[in-house]
Amino acid sequence: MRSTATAVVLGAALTFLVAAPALAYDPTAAANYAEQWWNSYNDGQWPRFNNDCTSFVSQASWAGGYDFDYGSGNPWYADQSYGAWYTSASWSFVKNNRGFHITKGDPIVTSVTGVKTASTTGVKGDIVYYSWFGDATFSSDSHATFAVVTAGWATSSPDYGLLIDGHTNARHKEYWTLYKFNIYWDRTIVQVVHPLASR
Amino acid sequence: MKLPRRLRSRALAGGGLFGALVLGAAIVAATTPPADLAARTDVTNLAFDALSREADMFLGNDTAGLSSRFTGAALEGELVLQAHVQDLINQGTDYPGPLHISDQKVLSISGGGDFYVIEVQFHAVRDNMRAGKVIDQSESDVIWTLSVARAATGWRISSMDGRFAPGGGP
Repeated sequence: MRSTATAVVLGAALTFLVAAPALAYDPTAAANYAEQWWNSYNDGQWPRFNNDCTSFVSQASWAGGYDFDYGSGNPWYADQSYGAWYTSASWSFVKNNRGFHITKGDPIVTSVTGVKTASTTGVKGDIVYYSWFGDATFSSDSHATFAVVTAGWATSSPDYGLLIDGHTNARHKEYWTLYKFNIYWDRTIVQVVHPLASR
Repeated sequence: MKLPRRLRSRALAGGGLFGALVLGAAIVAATTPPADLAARTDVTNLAFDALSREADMFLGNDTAGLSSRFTGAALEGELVLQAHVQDLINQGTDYPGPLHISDQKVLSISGGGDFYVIEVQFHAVRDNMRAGKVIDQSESDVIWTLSVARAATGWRISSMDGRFAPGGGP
């Protein structure tokens, strides 16, 4: 009897230790972070980069409940130790951040090229990636922003569809393709990745 | 080549950074071969000519094939780009119209002999079209990096890369 109870307790403990912690992603909390910091820097909590579009997305993801991932392959974290910051490539680079989310199983819900006014299936809390000059690997001349739909979708033509907040250039509730600021919108790849609520 | 006395005396009398800069600039100017200066002028003219051709690029009017400079997998080559624009028109969606380019300037030029790399920055406004009419515009500050080589028939652009100027893009 005693040995059975011990085994049950031990088994439960092992399950707790071995099982990956359940991730709960709250898109509203993430979007609220983007709304709070779209035009400023949260230096008290995170490192600042000159080109901080992706680190801004990472901060919002973390605010939404995405936890650091130190696993092999493509980790995602920003740690401070003895006054110095250590960040993974996926924290601040578009290619790596996109790769991280895809690796974690977050689906690409929209992928379009050269589209200016079509709407998207993205929702609040999604991440929008841009490859300005059509590099399908998102290795160069790329960008990331955060979807912040707060009251459904913008409906005034032609700017209908998802709205985003973003750095490096501060953007607040801008139309999702950012075509107003991109004379090369006709060759830009825009992808929307949907972080899963749980996995 | 002997420097003008006024430059020499100013550089020496200053004894500081400004004097050193004046002296350095004078030495560079004095030691740059006239042939190199002529080549840099040709390269600059070629870059600005490419800009004006870019402004003309519209529904296949890109006779220089400059649109192929961007080597992305999704849109590679002038024909692909033209077909892409035609697709947008066929779909009844918006498509890119002409560019209006201003404030072009040379940021840097390096190299020598038969090969140069030049960076040019410009401000551009693109007309966005639908059914043959301008419906709105996009606006960016862009930097082009052009590799230019001397061929038997004259200077030619061997590669081009574009990026948005800091603060001037999306």
